[in-house]
Amino acid sequence: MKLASRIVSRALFLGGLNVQDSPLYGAERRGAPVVAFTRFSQGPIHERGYIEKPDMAVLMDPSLLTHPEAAVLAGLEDTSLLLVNSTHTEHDLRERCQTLARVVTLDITSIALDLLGHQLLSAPMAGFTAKAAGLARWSQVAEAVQMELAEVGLTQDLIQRNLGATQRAYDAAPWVGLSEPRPAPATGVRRPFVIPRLPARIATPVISAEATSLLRTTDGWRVYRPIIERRLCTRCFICFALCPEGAIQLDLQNYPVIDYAHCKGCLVCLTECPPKAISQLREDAA
Amino acid sequence: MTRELLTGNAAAAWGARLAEVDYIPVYPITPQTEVIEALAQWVAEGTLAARLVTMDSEHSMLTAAGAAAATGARVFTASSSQGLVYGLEMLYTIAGWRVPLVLLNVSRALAAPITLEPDHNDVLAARDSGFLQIHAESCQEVLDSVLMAYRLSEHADVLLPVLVNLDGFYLSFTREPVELPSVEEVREFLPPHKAAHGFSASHVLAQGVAVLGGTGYSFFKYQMQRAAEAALTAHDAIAGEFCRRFGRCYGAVESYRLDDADWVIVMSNSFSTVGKEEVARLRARGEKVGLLRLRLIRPFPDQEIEWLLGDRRAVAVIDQNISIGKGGILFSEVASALRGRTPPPLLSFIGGLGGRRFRSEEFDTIMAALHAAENDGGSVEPTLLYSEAEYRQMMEMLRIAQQGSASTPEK
Amino acid sequence: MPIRREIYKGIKDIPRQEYLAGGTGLCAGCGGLLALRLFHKALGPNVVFVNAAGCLTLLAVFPFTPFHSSWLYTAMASAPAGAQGVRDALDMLIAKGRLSKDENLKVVVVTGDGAAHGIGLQATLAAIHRGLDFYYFCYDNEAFGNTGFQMSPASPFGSRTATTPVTSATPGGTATHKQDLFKLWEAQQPAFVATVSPAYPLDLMDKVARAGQLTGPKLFISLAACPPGWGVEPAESVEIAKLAVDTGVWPLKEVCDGKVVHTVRPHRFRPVEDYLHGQTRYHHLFAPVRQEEILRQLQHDVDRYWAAADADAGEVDNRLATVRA
Repeated sequence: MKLASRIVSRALFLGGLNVQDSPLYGAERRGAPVVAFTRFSQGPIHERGYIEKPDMAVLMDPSLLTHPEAAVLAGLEDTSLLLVNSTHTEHDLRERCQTLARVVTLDITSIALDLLGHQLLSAPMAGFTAKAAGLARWSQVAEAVQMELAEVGLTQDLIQRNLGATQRAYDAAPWVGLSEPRPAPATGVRRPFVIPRLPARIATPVISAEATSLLRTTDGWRVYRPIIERRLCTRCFICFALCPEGAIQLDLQNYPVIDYAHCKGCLVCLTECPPKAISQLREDAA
Repeated sequence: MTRELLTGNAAAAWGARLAEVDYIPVYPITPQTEVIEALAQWVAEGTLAARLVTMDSEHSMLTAAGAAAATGARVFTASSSQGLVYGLEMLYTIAGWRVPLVLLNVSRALAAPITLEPDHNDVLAARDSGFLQIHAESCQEVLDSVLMAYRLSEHADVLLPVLVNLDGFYLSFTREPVELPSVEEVREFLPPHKAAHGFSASHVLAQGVAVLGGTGYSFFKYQMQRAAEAALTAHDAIAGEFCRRFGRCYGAVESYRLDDADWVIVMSNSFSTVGKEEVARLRARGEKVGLLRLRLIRPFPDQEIEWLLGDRRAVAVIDQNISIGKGGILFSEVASALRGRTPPPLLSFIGGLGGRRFRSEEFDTIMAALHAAENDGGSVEPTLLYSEAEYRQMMEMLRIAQQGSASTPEK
Repeated sequence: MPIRREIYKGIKDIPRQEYLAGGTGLCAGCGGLLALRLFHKALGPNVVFVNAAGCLTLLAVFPFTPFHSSWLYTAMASAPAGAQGVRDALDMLIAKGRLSKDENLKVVVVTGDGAAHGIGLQATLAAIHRGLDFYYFCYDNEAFGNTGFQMSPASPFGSRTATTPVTSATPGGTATHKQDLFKLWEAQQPAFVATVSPAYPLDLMDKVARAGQLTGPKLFISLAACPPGWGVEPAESVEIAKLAVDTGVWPLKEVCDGKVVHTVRPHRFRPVEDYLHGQTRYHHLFAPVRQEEILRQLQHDVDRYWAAADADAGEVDNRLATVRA
C-alpha cells in the first residue's frame, strides 16, 4: 500500500505537481491492514498526516470493504472516487457497502497472479489508480514504477514484470477522473475543551480486565482462510498446538475448530497438518 | 520525639525508616552513599523490616523501585547527579505508571567536568518527568519532607512519585540538631500504604501498556498535569496536618521577611539559609528586602509566587543551575508565574555552580542591581556571581594546564 | 546423562487452556508469539510478565491486552530489574501479611534478542548474579524486528539485515557472528538455562515445567521465525524453525547438573543450505553468484559445534528426537 501510494505520487511529481506521501505507521504488522496517503497540488501543500475526507480512496484488499475497524469508506462523499481491487462489478459493490461514492473496480489480483505469480499488487494498483483518476500519462507511471521499485531493491527482471502488470492494469482501467476538490467547511469560533481530572486510580494506562484483545477481530488480515475438512481430520492436535494466535481450539470430540474472528490467515495450520485435512479459500470468495 | 545530631543523609535514612518502607533498591554514588549504608545496616540488624537490594545501575535501581511500587509496596530509593540522569528514562516511565514512590536526590553538579559538590542541574533535569519535587533547606526539613512526600505521593488525587532533594555536602554531610519523631507518631500521620493497583493472582493487570496515537497519549499526560495541580491543594492540607502534629510548618514556598519588603531575593535549597542571613544584614542597613524560598518545584506554585512577588519594586532570582543557552531555570519559571500582570523588574543571577560558596559582598552587588533595575529594568542576560580574584586564579591554572611549570617554554 | 521428559510426553498432554488470546497486532505467523503461547501454557496461571521494548511490547496496546495474566512494560534496558522489583515486592507483601500466599505470581521477563543481547544484558547478568527467582523468555528473531529488522548481536553471520545490507563491498551482509547468549547466561550458573523452539512444543513445554520445580533464574532462548524479517511466508514459520533444528543451526539444549545436554539431536543432519534457501535474508548467498566461502563457513560452524557437543556428551541420546507425531 505504501509502495502504491509512492508510485502514484512519484508519477504526479514527474508530471510537475507538488506531492506528499506518508504511510501510517502504528501496530501494522505482516498481514495487518495498512493505510498510506497521497496528496497533490499545483501549489504548496501545508496539510500533513491522516486524510479524513479523501477525494479518492483506493482499496487493495476488498475483504476490508465492510470491515468496521478498517472503516475504508469513512469520509467518502458522493463526489468521491472509490477504486477497489475486486472481481465484482461497481454496482455490486455499491449495493454491498451502501456507499454513495463513485466506485470503479478492476481485478488487480488476477493481473498480479497472472504476470507476477504472486500477490504483488502495488504497481498494478498504482497503474489502475493513475488511469482511473486521470492523474498521469503512461510514460510517467512507467518511470515512477521503475524508480520506486528500484529503490526498494527489486531486481531488473522483477521490475520489468511489474511494469508489464502495471501496463495491463493501466490499459484495462476506465478513465473516470477526480471531481473538483471540495471547499473546506468553515470553522466556527470555539472555546477549548477542558479535560476534567479523573480519579488518579483510573486515569492511567492500566488495563484491569483480562483478554480485552478479543474485542478486536483480525479477520480482515486474511487473504486466504483455512478450512478444516472434518472427515480427513485425524484429531492429531498439531494445528491446535501450532496456531500462533491460539485461534484453533478443540471441541468436545477433540476436533479442531477455527475462531475465524481471530484467525489472521497465516496458514501455519495448513502447512503443518499431517493428513492434509486443511485447505484454503480466497477470502474474497468466502 | 527525641532530638539528635544528624547529617542530611542520616535524616533522609531516618525518614525512610520512620515511613516503614517495604523495599529499598540501591546503587552507591557520592554523596548519597551514607543514606543507603545506614538503611543497609538497619535492614541487616532487623530494625527496619524491608528488603534492600543492590542493583547494577541507577537505571535498574529505578526500574526495580517503580516495579515494586507498581506491585503495591512502599518503596524508597536514592541517588545523585550522574546516577539520576543515568536513570532519567525511568523517571518518565514510573511517573507514567502513576505509582507512589519517594526518590531522594542528593544534589551534585553534573560532569563534565566531573566534580563532587552540589548544584541543581541534576534534579532539575527531572523537572518535566512527572515526579513532584520538594527541595529541602535543612536536615530537619529533609526528614520531614520524606514523610510528607509519602503522604503526597500516595494521595488518591495525586498518585505521582516524589523527588526529595537535598544538597550534597552542605546538607548531606553536615550535622545539625534534628527532631526525630517516634514510629507511633509517624504512623498516625502516615498510615500503612494501601496501593491503588498491584499485581496479584486475583487481580490481573496490564500496566504501562503502549498507547498508539496522540489521543491516548495526550489524555494520560494531561491527567498527570491535572494530578500535579491537585497535588498543590493536597500538599497544603498535608503540610497543615504536619504542622499541627509536629509543630513544624512548610508551605509550597517559604517567605522570609517579605511582609513589607520592596525588594525580593528568590533562592532554593540549603544556601537559602545563607541568603536569609544576608537579608538580615541588609535589613539592619535599612534595606527593605526579603527572601522567597522555593520549596515545591513541582507542582510549581505559580499563583502564590505571583501573589508574593507581584507588587515589589524589583526581584532577583538566584539560580544554582544553568540551562546552557538560556540561563537560570528557576528565573524562567518565576518569570512565567508573573505572566498576565506587569511584573516588577526581574534580575537573573547564577551562583553556587558546582558548590561554589556565596560571598557576602555578592549580596551587596545584588542589592545595588535591584535598586538600579527599578529605573533601568536591569540586565537581560543572567549574571554569574564570580569574583575577579577567582578569575585570576583560573588564569593561573589555565597557564599551568597549558605550559606546566613556569620554566616550560611556550609551544 | 540423558534427559527424560517428565510432564509433556505426548502432544495430547498440551493443555487446552489458553492464557494468551487472539486479536493482537503481531504479524501473522509470528514465531515469537507461538513460542510465548506454548511457554505460557506450560507456566499455567498466575503470571506477571515484565517486558522490554520489542515486537511483543505491542501485544498490549491500550485498552487491549491478550493476557489472562499480568503485564508490566518497563524499558528496553531493564526488564530483569523490573522483575526484581515485582518479585521483591510480592515477597515483602506476603511476608508482612498484606498479601495472602495464594496471591503469589510467577515473574517472567519477556524480551527480544535486541534487548537480551545488548542494552539489557547488564541488567540480566545482574539479576542472575543476585539469584533472582524468575523466568526469562527471550524470543530470538535474530535482529531488531520491531524497528524494521536492523542487525542485533544475535544476527547470524552472512544474513542480511536493514543495517547490514548486501552491496558489492559487503556481499555477505552481516560480518559478525551470532553472540552466544546461552553461554553468557550459563557462565553465571543459573538454576536453569535452555534453548527452545516453537516447532518443538513438547521439548519447550517440558523444559518450562521441569524448570518450574527450581528456585532461581530460569532462562529460555527461543528461536522465533520472523516472516517479514527473514523473508519467509507466514505459513512457513514453523517449518523454517524446524529446519533450523534439523540442520543443526539451532541446537535444542539445556544445562543439567552443570553440563550442557542436547534434548533433541537430529538422526541425520540436513545441509545448512536447506535452512538458508527458503529465507530472503540469505538469498544473496545463492544469487546472482553463490558465496561459496560464506556457505562453507556456515556449514563448518555447525559441524564444528556438533562435533564438540558429541565429543562432550560421549553418548548421544536419540530417544527424544521424534516429538511431533
